[in-house]
Amino acid sequence: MKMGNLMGMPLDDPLVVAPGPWTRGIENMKEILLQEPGAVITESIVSEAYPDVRPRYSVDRWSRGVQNIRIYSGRELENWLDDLTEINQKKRYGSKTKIIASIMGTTASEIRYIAKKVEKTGVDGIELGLACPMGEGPRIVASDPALVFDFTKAVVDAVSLPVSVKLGAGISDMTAVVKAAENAGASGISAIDALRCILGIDIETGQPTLPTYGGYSGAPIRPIGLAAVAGVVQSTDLPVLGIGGITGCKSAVEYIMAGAASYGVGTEILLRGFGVIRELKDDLNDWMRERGIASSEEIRGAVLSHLHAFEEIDQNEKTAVLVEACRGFAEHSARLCADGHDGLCMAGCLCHAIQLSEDGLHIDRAKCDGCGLCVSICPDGKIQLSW
Amino acid sequence: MNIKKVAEEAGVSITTVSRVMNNPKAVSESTRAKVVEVMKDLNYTPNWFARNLQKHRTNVIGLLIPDTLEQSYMELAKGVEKVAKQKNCNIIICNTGYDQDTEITNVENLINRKIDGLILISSSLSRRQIGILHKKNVPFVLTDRTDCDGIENVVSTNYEEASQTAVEHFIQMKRKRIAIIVSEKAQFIGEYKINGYRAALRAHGIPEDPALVVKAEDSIEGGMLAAGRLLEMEKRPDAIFAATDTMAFGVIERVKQAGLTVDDVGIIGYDDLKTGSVMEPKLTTVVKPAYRMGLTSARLLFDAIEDEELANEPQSIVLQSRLKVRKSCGNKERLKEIW
Repeated sequence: MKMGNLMGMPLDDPLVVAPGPWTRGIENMKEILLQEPGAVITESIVSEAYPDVRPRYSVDRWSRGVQNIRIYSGRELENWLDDLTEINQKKRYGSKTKIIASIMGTTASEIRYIAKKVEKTGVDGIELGLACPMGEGPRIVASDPALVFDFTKAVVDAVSLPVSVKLGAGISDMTAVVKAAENAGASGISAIDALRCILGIDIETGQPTLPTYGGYSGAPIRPIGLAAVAGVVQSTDLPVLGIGGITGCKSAVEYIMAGAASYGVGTEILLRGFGVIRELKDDLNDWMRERGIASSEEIRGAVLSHLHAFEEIDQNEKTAVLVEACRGFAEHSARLCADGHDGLCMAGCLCHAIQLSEDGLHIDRAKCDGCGLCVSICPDGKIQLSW
Repeated sequence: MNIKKVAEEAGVSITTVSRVMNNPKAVSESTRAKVVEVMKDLNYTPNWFARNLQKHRTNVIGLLIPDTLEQSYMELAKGVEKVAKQKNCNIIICNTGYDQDTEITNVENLINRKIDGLILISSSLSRRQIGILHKKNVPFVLTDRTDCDGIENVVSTNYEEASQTAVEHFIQMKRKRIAIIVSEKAQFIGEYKINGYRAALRAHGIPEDPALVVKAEDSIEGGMLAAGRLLEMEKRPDAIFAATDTMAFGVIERVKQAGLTVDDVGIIGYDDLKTGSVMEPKLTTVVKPAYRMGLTSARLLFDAIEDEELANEPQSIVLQSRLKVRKSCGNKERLKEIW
């Protein structure tokens, strides 16, 4: 058993398929439902469909970061209502997966109307996509606590479904926004949405990768998402859906340990296909079984007690030592560093504490100030900090 | 008062109340009597027309537009059509010319033709006349009017707030004498826009000069004439907020003719007509969500036509207008144009 919780609803699995073009249309939804994730969230439904520009995605193959310049759903509200109604009439193809409608509007009355409409289709909950960084002007709704309150309250008052609010990481006062959502009656928080980005610039032509600012998602945003989730769970008791750069079992566990009650997968589906859902579910199952963990609740928030204020961090005088002799990476050495990343420890040492001689690598502990860079950069794990 | 209340009061389901009205034979005599009594007690008048139409729909709706030459209204009509098509409905479009009598005649004709419902754009009808419309039991939506919020089905946009933002943009750009040109005919909308203009001046402690508030015909020529008057003033304005793009096109032309540039007289329009983005200088304007207003108006209308419960619960939806900065206001920052 792997419990998950989304907006107060218990899930059969903590995996939630995050909103995006992969959750648009009956065909995609069916494919997802058949793999039975805990929940699936539709692409953001709006009252006026936006045409899809071409091209709209670009992937940085090295970092696996993705920029997309698609704005909300290209599908009309009426089509969405028909799709969701049909999916429910077909008993969700036998799946127990919860279906959440992601919706967005420019005013409280507009978003309330869409909420009332989607409620009638039989969805289990509503997520307010207030943090989409594309095409919304310099300010996003989710950065303004007063607007978050108004939008959330309008929807919470109009429907009898649980409502969650999706936040972005580019919000200076996350706590104020979370409190606004909570005070307005939200049942959950989702974090984080894509971040505003320019993926890259062609240095020969000056052309950006895509012709406008877009949303940045995928593996590189994970550290930002983890920090956001750990922050949100410390400011509210609402269940949090952790999203942002989850690529496999390890990153899913990281989000749960940061405090997420369920975790979302999106960009990884875009990059590797729908099979990712089953793979992630199975991998997390195995990981938990191997450790005798029955429910994800047992490890939820595990990181929080280990997160300290700066002044609480132990002061010590550890310095770097070699845990095994290193012949180094010089030309005369038969053995080069792993991955071909030769000599990074030495190149990055600001204390000039690492030297190479004929008999191999030496660390001058009197010079080392224990910054730890060489420890984390050595591809062979040969360096540690020690007394 | 709605069918839900009746159902609650009578201790029966909404379906039962609906049956009492539609198909009384399907309900036991005692239940029927109880429901009818509650309806009398609560003074509940069902939306008979909407109910009847469910059986005798003509699949035609009426769309009343003040000026069919005004592009933003045609965009709105396109939005209405998008939804109507999905509902297998056709539209009869009538031009009211902002004239109350014409509007009343149009409404009467359309009702006689047994249309399923009406969308009234910038209606000139008085509140009393709107009340009469209720007695005709035709579902309708008022678009571009906000004085009936909470009473009728209303779709509007935040003209006042958006106009204030536009004028404040001029103030931030250090413009000192800001004029506004509003359509002489679109009385409600014109008022909202002037209110926004005044709110911006007030917020920045700028005294209002009544000579800088000009009414004009909503046309390119109207904009040119009004701009001409403003530019001939002894202390001419250094910024003009033309309350429709059509008038703004005339203002731009007149400013050019006077040998002036946007650095001398900044110009902001309202509507975001396509032409504004390709002319020189590119028009800074307030984007009116006309197409979306059309979509939303049609959705509310079909809610009222198809769902008796909704027909008795007026819905008000405000859609957002927002400033689109380009060049005509004197802007030099490219980033502002992107967002």
